[in-house]
Amino acid sequence: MAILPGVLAASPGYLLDGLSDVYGAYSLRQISGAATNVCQCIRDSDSATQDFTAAELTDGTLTTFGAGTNARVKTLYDQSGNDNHATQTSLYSCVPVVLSGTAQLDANGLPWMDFDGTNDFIPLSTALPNIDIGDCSSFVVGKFDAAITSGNGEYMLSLGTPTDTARWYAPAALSSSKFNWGYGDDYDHHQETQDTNAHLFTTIAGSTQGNWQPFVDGTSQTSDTLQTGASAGVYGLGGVNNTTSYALNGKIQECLVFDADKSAERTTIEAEISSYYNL
Amino acid sequence: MSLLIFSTEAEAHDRTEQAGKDANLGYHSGDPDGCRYVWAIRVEPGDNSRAALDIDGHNHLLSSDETAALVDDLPTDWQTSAAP
Repeated sequence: MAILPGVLAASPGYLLDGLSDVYGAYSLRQISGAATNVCQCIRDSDSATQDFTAAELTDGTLTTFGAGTNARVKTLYDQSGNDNHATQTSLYSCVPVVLSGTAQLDANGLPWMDFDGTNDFIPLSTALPNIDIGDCSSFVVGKFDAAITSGNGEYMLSLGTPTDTARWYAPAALSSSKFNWGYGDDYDHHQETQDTNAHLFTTIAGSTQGNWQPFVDGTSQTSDTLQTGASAGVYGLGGVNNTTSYALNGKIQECLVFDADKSAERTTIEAEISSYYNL
Repeated sequence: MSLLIFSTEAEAHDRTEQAGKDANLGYHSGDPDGCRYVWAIRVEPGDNSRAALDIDGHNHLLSSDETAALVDDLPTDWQTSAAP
């Protein structure tokens, strides 16, 4: 496990150790020394559930559990220590990590959640309420599986919804083949050319940075005026508003949400994440 | 995936919860954090307020009438969502 220089002096070894203002931290790897289980999965065949450590996702335990069926992430355990666990209550909206007995892994052999583009969604609105979009940072590792050429678009991470004041879409993908970031009063605040590679999508807003900025793999895409507003509605991983209208067809491996401007530690956090996922 | 269309969201909600009971999902067997529903609900935006269940599996929980009523696509007059 990589050590985060300068941040983890008191408790080296895990990304979150030594970091403050973590609101929710969800990952299929262990990112806190205090964390044990990273997720709970449910399998299609008999609806049995089982908690998994990060190691158990790749050491054969998960594939044994999901042998001959699908195993889906029902709950992502919050590794921040705040117990803001994110859970899905509809069986077929839980997100597969095993499909027909086969573990879903990236090119590096790391597990990822495979969102189907139809109705897979992990809500965060109950787990992480009252997010101020003027003082927030999000880091998400994921990919879109296809270029978006029509339809309503796909939302990888949403932390606020259409109150016309508190959108945080970071990122989405819209037709035609655009990465999209929604912020505050604007659902399509900024676009860049979309691809289907895995990326680290960072978005930060706050008074330290002095503005709102989305980053892809550490590179700023734009900057704009800060807005403020409290999140509302249904938001989360793999969609926005509901489980079906804007569903992600893609993968997610990790999502960190800070209720603070983490611009001062951004490059250090990004370096650790990028190194781990070989981005 | 097939779709089962309902006149209202409440009907669709009740049907997927009943399926959860029939499947003995965790919520219905004493775990308040367990799964409660089997299928996702797709609600039509706008005034019609129809709803559909995404039938991804567990088709054995459907009645013969419901199985016969499954469709591959939403009705052609189904309203689409605006930008969120």
